[in-house]
Amino acid sequence: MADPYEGADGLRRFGQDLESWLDEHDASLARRGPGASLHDEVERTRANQQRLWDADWLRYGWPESVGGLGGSPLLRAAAAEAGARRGLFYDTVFAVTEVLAPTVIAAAPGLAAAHITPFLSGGEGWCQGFSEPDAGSDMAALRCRAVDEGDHWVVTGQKIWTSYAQFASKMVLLVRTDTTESRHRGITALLVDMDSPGFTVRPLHAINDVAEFSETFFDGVKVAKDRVIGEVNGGWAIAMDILRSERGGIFWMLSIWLLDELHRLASEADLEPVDDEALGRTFASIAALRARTWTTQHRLAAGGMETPETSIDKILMATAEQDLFDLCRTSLGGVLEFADGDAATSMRSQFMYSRAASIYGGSAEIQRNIVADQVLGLRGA
Amino acid sequence: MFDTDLAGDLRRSFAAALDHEDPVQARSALVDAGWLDALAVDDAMAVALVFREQGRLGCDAAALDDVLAARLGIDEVAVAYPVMPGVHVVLPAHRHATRLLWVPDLSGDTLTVVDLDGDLDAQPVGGIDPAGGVLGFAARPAGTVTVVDGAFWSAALAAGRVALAHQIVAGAHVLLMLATAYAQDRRQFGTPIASFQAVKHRLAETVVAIAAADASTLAAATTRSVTAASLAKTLAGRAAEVAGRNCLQVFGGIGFTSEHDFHRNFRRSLVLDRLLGDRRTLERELGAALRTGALVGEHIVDLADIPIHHDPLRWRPPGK
Repeated sequence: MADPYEGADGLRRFGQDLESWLDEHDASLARRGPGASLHDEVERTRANQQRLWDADWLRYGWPESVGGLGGSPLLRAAAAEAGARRGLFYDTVFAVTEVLAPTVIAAAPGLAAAHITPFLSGGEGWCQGFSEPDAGSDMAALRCRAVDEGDHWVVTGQKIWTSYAQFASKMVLLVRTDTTESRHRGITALLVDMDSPGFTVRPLHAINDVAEFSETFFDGVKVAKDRVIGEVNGGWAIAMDILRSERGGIFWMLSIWLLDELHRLASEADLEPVDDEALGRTFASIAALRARTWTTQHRLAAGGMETPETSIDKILMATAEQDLFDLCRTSLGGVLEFADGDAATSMRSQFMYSRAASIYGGSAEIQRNIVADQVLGLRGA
Repeated sequence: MFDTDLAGDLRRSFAAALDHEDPVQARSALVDAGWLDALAVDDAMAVALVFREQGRLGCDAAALDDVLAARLGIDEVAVAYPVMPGVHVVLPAHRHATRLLWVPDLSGDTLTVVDLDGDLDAQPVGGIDPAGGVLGFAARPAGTVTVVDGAFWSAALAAGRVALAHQIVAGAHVLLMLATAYAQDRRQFGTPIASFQAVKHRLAETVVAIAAADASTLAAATTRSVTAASLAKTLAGRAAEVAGRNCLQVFGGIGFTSEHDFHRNFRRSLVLDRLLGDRRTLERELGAALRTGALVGEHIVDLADIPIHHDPLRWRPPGK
């Protein structure tokens, strides 16, 4: 199929065409309603995602083998940004496709062709089972186990911090399949159906008053042999690739969200000249993230970036997000602490969520270790 | 536009030209190497090449004056930069200049070119970087005065800020590489200090600050937006501050002596931060612009902007 958005100005034409379509259909696309629950937001995000998929916009940048229309992955980032700018998505729900799908498509083309289209189109959710109670920053310590029972695996163990597990149909699960000495070998990635017998999901009420994360329990869950993503005992490489996608693809979308929140604060918070310096400083933190993710997007699309360098993006993201919501809290004169209207509740939730930005997806300390050890080359110094 | 091979050739010849002790000689060699022609053909790339080399080598050929002159549409001129009330400075590579662009302040009002009656009669400013040798003026020198159209000032100022950001980023990167190599060699408690997590994290934070400034500078060079240029300069200033603080901490006592190169790099960065708006002033201006609604719809850079060609920074110290 010929790619209508090929060439040097393809992204710009794609953006313009998409904007015209969005302008035309804006009124019929769902926005967050007052007091919306997480369930409402997931439903709304998927409905908008399905509209954009059906109109082809979200199909660009995915291969034809999974229902896409091909073209540069940058087209996906452009579509995500356009949707984020109009408030069409609960951004971190929408972004799960960008985290999981590129790796699954590359490492397991057959599985992807058979299963992934509903996930990309908004028909269903997937989730990521990586962390465990005793394997947080030290992910290679994971113990959730899959035993080879001949024609299937049997999974036993526990995962935690699984985003949107209660809304998901499938999980990309990391399990230990071998007892080799090396902790990084002997890990395998499986694609597991959430409705399998023995699979339980328990949402965790988080300090932002939303239950985005869950604990998940596996009590002898059977998984078919053809559900291995990549190689048996080759799961660590899959996990690293997914982390690169997580730090590469999504932050572009988050940078426009932070920038829009900053513009909103600047226009609505009755700021005074004395606030200019703090406002400008936060603006620069967000600009740092945005410029960095822009270079990262272009480098990833050209295949010229290794996973460790994306840790720089994660540190900038956590810094910008926390700087912004600290500024929101201190600028809003007690609203965030004492008001209970919808806007205040929503802002409070985002403020509390931002506290986790330096923990999830690899803590700030782990990211700094990676930058020092693998970017500067200080491992084993 | 230059292709990548030509860019590599130019970079090498600019680097060779800038490798002179005397800034006047460096300037003359840089002009001979084709700097002004390159600036006219592809200014974004030419500026990236020359200012990165100036930062890397710690040398200044007053290329900044050429960037401003080109954007203002005037012939070669030495620029008198306002740096504090009652003090203007001229870059030492232009110490024999006979024409001066007098910039009263950064508003762009009443810009004038002065064709000097005599020599550029100025004394080096001592200040924090006496070795840098910038020349000081308390007032506009005597000469024939021509008014410069201020219509292009904001574009010139933005271009100058991007150029300085390139230079400051490259200087901070040099410092980081020195500190990283030092941490791998310096042993305490029987082990290289680079094995201590506290040291690693200081160096990692420096990488992050420099990478952020580097990307912001590329964004500003690509989009040519005035706001992106201010952001690039402020983030470069921030990166230099972070590098100055963390790298000195890694060098420890030896970095506090004048025998070590740290102070030369650090002093230069403090002077560069003051040219065309310091880090904090720019933050205040950016904040004011946001607060007053002057930046509604500003998103700094778009995915459809294709980054100008630029070799990604290398993060391993030479020989490590």
